[in-house]
Amino acid sequence: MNGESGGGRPRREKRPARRSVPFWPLAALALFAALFFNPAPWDNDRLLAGIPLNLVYHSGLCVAASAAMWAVTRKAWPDYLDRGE
Amino acid sequence: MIAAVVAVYLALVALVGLAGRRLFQGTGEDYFVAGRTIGPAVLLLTLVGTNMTAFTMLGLSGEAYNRGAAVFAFVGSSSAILVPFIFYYLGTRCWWLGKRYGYVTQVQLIRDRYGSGALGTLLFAVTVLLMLPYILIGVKGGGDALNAVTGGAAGGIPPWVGSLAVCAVTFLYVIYGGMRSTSWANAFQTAVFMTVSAAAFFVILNEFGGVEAAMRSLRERHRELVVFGADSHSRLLLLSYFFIPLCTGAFPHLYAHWLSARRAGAFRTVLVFYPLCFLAVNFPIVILGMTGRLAFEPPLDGPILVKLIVGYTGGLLAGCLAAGVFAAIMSSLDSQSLALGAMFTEDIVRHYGLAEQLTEQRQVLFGRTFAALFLGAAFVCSLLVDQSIFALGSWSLTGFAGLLPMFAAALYWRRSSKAGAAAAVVTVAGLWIYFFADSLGVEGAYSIGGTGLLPIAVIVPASAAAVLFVSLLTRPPADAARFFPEN
Repeated sequence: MNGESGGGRPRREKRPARRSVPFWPLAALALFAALFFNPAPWDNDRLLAGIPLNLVYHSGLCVAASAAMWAVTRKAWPDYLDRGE
Repeated sequence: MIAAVVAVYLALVALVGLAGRRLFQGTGEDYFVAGRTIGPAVLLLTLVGTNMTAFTMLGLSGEAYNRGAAVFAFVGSSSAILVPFIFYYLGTRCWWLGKRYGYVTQVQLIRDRYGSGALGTLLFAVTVLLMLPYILIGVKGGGDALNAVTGGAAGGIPPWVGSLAVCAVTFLYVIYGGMRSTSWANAFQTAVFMTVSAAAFFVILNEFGGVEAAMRSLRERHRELVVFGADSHSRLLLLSYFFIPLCTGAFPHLYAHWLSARRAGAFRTVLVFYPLCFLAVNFPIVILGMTGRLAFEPPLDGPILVKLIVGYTGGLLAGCLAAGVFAAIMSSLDSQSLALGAMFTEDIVRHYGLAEQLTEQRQVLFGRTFAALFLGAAFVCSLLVDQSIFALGSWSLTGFAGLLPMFAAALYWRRSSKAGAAAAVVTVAGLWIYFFADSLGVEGAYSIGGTGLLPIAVIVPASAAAVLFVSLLTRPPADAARFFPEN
């Protein structure tokens, strides 16, 4: 019944511990930096819903950063932080 | 009316702060880091509030008035992007080490990590020197803001009254309740600040026919405020400002708030909602600053936000604005004075054995005494300095940002050494002094060679290079492994 007898489902391998230092969020940060310095809207004076395009763009980056951090907390949360709580 | 609103607000802050006193357990850890019991919502609001200063409300709108929409990228989106990553990598790791080894200050961590008391003392000295002008700006900003809202030079409340009020109320709840009171008061003040910003946005923009009408008019009259500008000066300035939020990784008062978290999970809420809070705070302020250009031509004889409020709203909102400025100031000042109290108690008195038997009660007594001394000294100094003190604000942030590579190396690079960390601190101090001296003869905003590149964009990479190369040439501490989690 515990997976060690021949008839039961094989016991699933214990999930290897996540790296204590997840690095892919750094890649996300690099992407955000690239988007931050994206020069495309800099000299554009269009208004979107009455707001300057540059402001809309950088506000969007703030919202995207929030979404990225949500993903980070779900997928790259270091295991050691929650040990012993 | 304005003075009454401000008085009511200050009384409310004091009450909220003093309520935290009920849970106080009388230990040093409880006083300095709230016994590590702060939950996610309060942690989020207190971290947002601690990162706001008088600049956020008055300076940011003033910059938007002069420079336009680009200011939002300089201060708003750059912080909304970088700060959560700093909290994720540095904040959570500091929290983990603080809980494991009982740290309440950064200097304790660095001394222990590199086995060097002298390095800790060097860091202590640099941190305190960088912090002092930052505190002073808050105290002076409070006085100036109240004066401006109540009429300025023509019969406004004298600046010293506002400065005294800021110091007195902060003194009350910091001394009585320590970090728990500070966190609760900060959370309350952040909520007030965000509400006032939103209210000012809708009420004032309504007077201009709504945001769309105001921005269309602005584009026709001042197109340069709607675009960022694609010239090299603007690009280098944008690059430089992207480094500014790095200072949050080295602020001693933010470090104390990180350590106050009850669980690591509290950081999850902070990480997700911090960018949205920063957007909610900065966006309306920038729009208002830009809109001010439609109503008032330069040069201005006072803060643009104050002129808009006084010119387009009633006394109640003006009072709320003053309260909002006080909220921004006190939510930083309380944490800063508490952190400095903790540093003097733990990093000097305890480390050098200046007091026999530093019991829990005596730790609290020392912490309170030092925090009170700082607030008193800040008030006295605010009476002596002139407006030029505000220019020191960005220099303070520059210095703290330069220290970030050293902290990152201590937390994530086993190979980093005591000499490497010391080299980084010395590099920051040396370059800071060099650039500051270079700026003294320059009229207006300083940048290196007038290019738009700010000293911070040189100091941070130089600090990183110093810790990297000197560490590679020297021996790391033998017991570095205990500062790193096992995979």
